[in-house]
Amino acid sequence: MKPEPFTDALVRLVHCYYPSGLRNDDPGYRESEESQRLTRLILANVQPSPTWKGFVGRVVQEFPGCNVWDTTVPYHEPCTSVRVSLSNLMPDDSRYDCVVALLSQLAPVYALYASHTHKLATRVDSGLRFPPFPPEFQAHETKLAGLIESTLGFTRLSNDVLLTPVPDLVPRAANYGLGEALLVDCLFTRDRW
Amino acid sequence: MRAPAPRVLGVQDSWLLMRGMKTLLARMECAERSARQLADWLTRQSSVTRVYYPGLPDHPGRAIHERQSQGYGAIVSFDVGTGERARRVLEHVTLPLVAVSLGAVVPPGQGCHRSDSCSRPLLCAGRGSACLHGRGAMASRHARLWGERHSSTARGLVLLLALLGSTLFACVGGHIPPSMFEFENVVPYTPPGAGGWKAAQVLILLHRISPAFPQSATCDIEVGVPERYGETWVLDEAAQAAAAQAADEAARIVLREHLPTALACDQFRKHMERIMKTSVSARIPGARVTGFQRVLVSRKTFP
Repeated sequence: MKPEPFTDALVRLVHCYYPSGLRNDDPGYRESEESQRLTRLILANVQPSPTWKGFVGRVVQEFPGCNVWDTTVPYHEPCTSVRVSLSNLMPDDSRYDCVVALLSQLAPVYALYASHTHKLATRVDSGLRFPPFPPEFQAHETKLAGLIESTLGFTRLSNDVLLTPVPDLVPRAANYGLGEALLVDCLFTRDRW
Repeated sequence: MRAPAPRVLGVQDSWLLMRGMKTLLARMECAERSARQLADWLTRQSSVTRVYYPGLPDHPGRAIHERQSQGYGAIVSFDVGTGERARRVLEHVTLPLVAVSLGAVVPPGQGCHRSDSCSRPLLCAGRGSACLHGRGAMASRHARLWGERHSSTARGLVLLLALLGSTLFACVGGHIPPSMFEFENVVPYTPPGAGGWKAAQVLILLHRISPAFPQSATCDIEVGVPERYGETWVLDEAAQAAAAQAADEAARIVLREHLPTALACDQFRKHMERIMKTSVSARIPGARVTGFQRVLVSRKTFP
């Protein structure tokens, strides 16, 4: 976990990729220098790199019996992501708990969160937690963090960093207005579930 | 079979029943929500002397109703004081005369009957419940009420709620056909672990049809779903049905909130995505609803 100056650097970094003061449907957003820069980066990462493929393969090996789902959505955000279920739960089981890793393409940083979904007869209960994780998620958290750091060399971001407001930016694939974005939205994705 | 046991349903009735059951829960829940809103609104009108709806706190039969039933239903009646005033209310009600059943949810190519909504370029959903656009498709004129009862005591205006809702509230319960969402592969599924991705892009014009709220919003909607999750393939037909169902529900929510145009689209996408991810009946884990990201798939426009 990195201290405060690191946060400032990341805030400055995301300002290089998202135009300040514009909603993502404003004229000029897509044409802005920042957005064009992000587009180039995203297009360069549309095809999964051998490093990423190798990493996902390692995750599959290291979590036998668990469902590993590469949830990266190309063209949307500068982020790759993978979900690792607890035990052999499947996404369409009535209960689906997993640890999710988000890895930024803007900087070698990552985030983990715990995701819980429970499908009941009349509704679906769901929620996610940033650390500290509930006890049943912690073994996965430790193992996945170790794997990311040893394989990819990325740095994990603390909650304080992730939840830093970036009120003048709107991520391109977010259904946000100005004032809603956090650093986690800009570095990774707003689509956390 | 029908001769010795005449209580057996006829073919057409059975078909209608089977078709309607697919969406009965969603329609009933919406109708009841609308009924409650309508009843609340009517109680605030000075020209309405009495509102009859078991969900209202002062309804005399509420306790009995709650012992016997779940929910309060979708029928509201109200008293406007005199027969003359009731007649004037009826004269000023405008309703769609040409309408189709809301019962069907049929992906293209799957047994679409000529009376199903997918069989024609629909702008409005039937039975007066609402429009997502297309005032031109609404043959509105003075009241011809389906299920109306008009009595000289002026208590007699009993309406199927959706009919009145569309008139007084511009209540939306419309129907975006599943075929609007034409999913095309963007990222192929590659095992192990990679879910693949497919997307559909639709430009949707949300239009509140009430003269009191003539707001409209054109929203670019990109719906993305994984090709596969776990052991489950997300079929195009399932994605289309889920997207259409979510779009209908999201539109109903957004158009009731009287939002400015710019916010309406954001909210529409948020609600649609939430519904696709959490719907009990048609949940698609990982579904995502955004504005158009790139021209990767062919775009459609609704209406």
